[in-house]
Amino acid sequence: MTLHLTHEQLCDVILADSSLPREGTSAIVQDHLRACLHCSAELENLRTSILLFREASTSYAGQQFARSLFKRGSIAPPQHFLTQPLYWAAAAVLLVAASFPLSLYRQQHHPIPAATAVVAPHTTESDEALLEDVDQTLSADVPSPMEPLVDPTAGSTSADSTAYQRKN
Amino acid sequence: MPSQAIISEHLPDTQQTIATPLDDMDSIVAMYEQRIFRFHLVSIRDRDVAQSLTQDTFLRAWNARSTFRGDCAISTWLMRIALNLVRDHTRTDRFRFWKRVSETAVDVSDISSHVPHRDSSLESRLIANEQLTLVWESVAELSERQRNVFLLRFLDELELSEIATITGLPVSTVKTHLYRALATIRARHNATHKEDQ
Repeated sequence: MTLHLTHEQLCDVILADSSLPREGTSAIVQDHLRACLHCSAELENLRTSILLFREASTSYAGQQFARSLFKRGSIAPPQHFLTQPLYWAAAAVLLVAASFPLSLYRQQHHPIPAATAVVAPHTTESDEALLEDVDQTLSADVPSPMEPLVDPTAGSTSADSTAYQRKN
Repeated sequence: MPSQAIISEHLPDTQQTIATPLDDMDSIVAMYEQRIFRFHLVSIRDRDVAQSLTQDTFLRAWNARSTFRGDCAISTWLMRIALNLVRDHTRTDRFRFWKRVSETAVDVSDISSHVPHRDSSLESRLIANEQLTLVWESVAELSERQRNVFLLRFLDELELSEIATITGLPVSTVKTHLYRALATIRARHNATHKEDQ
């Protein structure tokens, strides 16, 4: 029967902590590891697995940390930058520049309601004035052939006219 | 949002007068943020939650800086706060739900692309990925305490005495948790080898 290291002995080798006092069995354990291929292979396997776990986790966490730093930089700049007036001025200019095409767009695409709202009263007034003009023109400018004939008896009295009628 | 910005927003005026080693929080954040983030990321396995908990760690440290007595290293004190936050977070039902549906959850396939390949042969890459997957899945199976102790030892490479200070456990208990965690990993190793043979 072949004796191997106990679980605790194997773990102590993996832990290999400098803060703990060296135990008397460590020399025996080291001798056994040199002689036993099974135990040394298992120890090596465990060590490698844990090392891979640490290195991969550290590398991944480092990458994610860098990404989060980048996101912070792009979304929320440090506070002292926001206090500088130059940045505020630039932001104001950008805001005005952005709102200018927007106002142009609104004017181009919504002219009808504004025009009707403003022009509508003027249109009704001008219509009425035009109708009055037409009436005046119609009543005033009667063509000469259509004018009533001049009464030849315009200077005589009404009594004379009746006498003349009787004679006839 | 940067951790510094959050801290300065929540800065209570009354505490400003007391001088502590944690007053220069900007440099402390710069020094330890990545490490705290890594611990949260591998513990919780969710990128967004890890970021949020990292910010919370420094916020709590800032708010409680007057209670820091200097009897341990700042890194140990920060890790203790981080560990408490992980514990609080993982004990809620909400965590269990979001862990299932979260889009920012970290999968072993995300990690496996970061396995260092010193040997470029295909076989060695496959073996390395298999070994990583084995440990990654084994860590997920561990109890909360075993996982915390395992990560503090093998991810952060802390000494057992430091882990004992952070967790508030005796060194012997820390060792026991590590033995059990390694036993789980060994059992999976052996099972995988038997399947291969």
